[in-house]
Amino acid sequence: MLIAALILVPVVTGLLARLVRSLRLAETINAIGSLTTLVLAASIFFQVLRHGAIDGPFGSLRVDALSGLLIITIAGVGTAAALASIRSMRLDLAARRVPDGRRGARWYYLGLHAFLASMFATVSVDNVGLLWVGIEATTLASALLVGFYRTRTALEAAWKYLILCTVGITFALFGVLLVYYATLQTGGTATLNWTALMDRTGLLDPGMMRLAFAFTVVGFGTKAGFAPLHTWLADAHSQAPAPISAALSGVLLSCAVYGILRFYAITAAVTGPTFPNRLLLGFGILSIAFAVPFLVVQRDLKRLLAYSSVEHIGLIAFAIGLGGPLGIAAGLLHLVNHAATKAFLFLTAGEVVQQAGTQRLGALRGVVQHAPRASWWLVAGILAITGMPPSGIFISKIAIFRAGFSGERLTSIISIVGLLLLGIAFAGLLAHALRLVERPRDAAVPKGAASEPTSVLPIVVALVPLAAVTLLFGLYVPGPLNDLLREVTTLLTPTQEALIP
Amino acid sequence: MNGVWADTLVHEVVQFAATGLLGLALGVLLARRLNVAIGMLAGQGLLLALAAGAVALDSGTLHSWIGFGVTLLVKALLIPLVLFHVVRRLKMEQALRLGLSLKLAVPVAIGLMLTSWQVTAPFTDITHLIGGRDTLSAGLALLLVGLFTMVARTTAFSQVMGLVTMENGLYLATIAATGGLPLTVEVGVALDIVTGVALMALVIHELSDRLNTIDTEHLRQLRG
Repeated sequence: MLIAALILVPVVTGLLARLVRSLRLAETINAIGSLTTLVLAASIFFQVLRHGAIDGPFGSLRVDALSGLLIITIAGVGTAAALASIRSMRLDLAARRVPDGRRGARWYYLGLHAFLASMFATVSVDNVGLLWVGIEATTLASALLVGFYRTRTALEAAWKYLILCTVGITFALFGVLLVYYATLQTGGTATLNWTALMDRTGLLDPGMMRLAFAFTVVGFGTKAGFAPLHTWLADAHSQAPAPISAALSGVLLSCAVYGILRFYAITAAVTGPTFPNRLLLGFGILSIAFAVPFLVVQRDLKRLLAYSSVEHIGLIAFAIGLGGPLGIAAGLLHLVNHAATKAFLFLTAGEVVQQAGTQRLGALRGVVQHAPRASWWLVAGILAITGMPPSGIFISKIAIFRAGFSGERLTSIISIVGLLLLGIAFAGLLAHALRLVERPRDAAVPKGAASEPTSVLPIVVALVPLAAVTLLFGLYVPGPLNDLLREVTTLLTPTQEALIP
Repeated sequence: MNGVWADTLVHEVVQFAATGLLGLALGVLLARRLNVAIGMLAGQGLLLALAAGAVALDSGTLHSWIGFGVTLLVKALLIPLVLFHVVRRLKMEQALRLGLSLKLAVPVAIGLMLTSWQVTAPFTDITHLIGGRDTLSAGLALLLVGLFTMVARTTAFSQVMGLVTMENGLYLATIAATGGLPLTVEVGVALDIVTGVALMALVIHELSDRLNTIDTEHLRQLRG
């Protein structure tokens, strides 16, 4: 029941927000709906924690520990994005950036909640075929949000996003087909049910599964932003309204990683972990290597954050590719930390951009004089994402590299390369952050919508919990999360010993 | 319908559909006029439905008949209709002509087909493939030719048609290898595809409205 409600509440919220006539009412519905979703997600999370996996109605919904982790992350980031949208839309309306005016804003709320519903559905289905359907649905639900401003660049971004992700994911469908074919070959009834597949791993053909995993990683990897398939990502993140960028970066990418993880578990059990680990390790380090130069020379604030997402998704893939319970747990912890911190960053960046009227980093020099509060939050966020203590990113990065250096020699060497790249990224981001706070030589501070016509309350309510999570996870990993991570690693590596020291 | 006779018939129908699909994929790649290309895409849908229908007739399950119905509805009717609808609303005459930016299109496409034939060699002896190795290699060839169409032609329409060709190839391979994915998955995939094409059509419409072009060569503002 809870699972069905989790998917239905956002749908109903979105439809109601679109149907009512007043924008204020739509905003209220949006707030109530997203908070309800958060409560539902939290109760599912704790139920999974206490009683194990929950089976939903229709026989194809099932929430286990991994789904539970994603659900709470999506709900947290989604609710923050929905609340922040109230202020962001008001500012956009005041600046006449919203096509169709207030009607367009109500469409926006429908799109946002449909997008959230598609992500909840993606992580709640217990069938790798429906998982594919769900991930493609998240692209479709968010494409119009990416092109929301309908400017030349926004339409370009939406087009590239739709085409590239759809082509990419077609390859993943081929992977699904191969899995289905492999189960047919075993002689029993063919199935795409994940739980049933995990029970049958001993019978599946390793060659076929290897091929299937490679196709899936390419397909879902396009969506996750693995280099060199990441070219849509910076465009989409930089052109979408800030709360949408927060949801894209924080949780949409995570949903794609989730898809890969489901196939990873089957493949690792069939072929042994070496092949899938090497593949993820390769894509991971490649993504970090591709992202770092773009981080250093970047001229656009939101593109800067987008390339940082490529870097962090790469790091997550790298961690999972290290293999073993330690790597997987560290990767998933990093996924949660990245979601909270990056959502925080995109929301504050949106605020700064709206106050300054530009997202060009050159024009944002010394923006702290003009929009002090938002800018200092942004700088704090940038420091947190680089892994400065006390941020959650710091803890999970340490955990990842501890896993990296405790393995064989090859992974240790790759870990050193990774550390070097992260060091460059750190320096690049720090330099960008310093330019935001410096005093500009000519006193021409950026100008924009100087007056603030709407209340800052929604964005503060959205940001404070995200900041709190980032800080809290930087101090310690809470017990329930730790238990859940332990359970996820047992789920994904049933044959290996689950041990998180 | 069972027995050897029926089996051969199904195999032949599926093989015929596969051959026709390859021809029409080449057609979509090379067509000079947009309306002709969309027509050929609809033809692909019909042939795909024919193959699905043959499998349904053979297996007789409700599932495979629904698969046939969905294919006919989505691939042969809805997708072409959506595309025709956008074409009619575009006011630009120039958009109706499709320039081919690559002179080597034909040799490359044929090369892709031969490659697909080559890489499916391991499947020669697998008897339970419907339509045999030919069908599987045709599916793979459609996938590659569709991808190539997206690269070789620059109008937004060709990219959508290349994408649909890719999906068609995948569906053909699915029929050949498994007789069809589970029903919920098949319906979900079809829904995704038709929604995807509708959204792409919407973006094409917006692009032509605001930018006065649907040539993706002009979509180069976002870099770095």
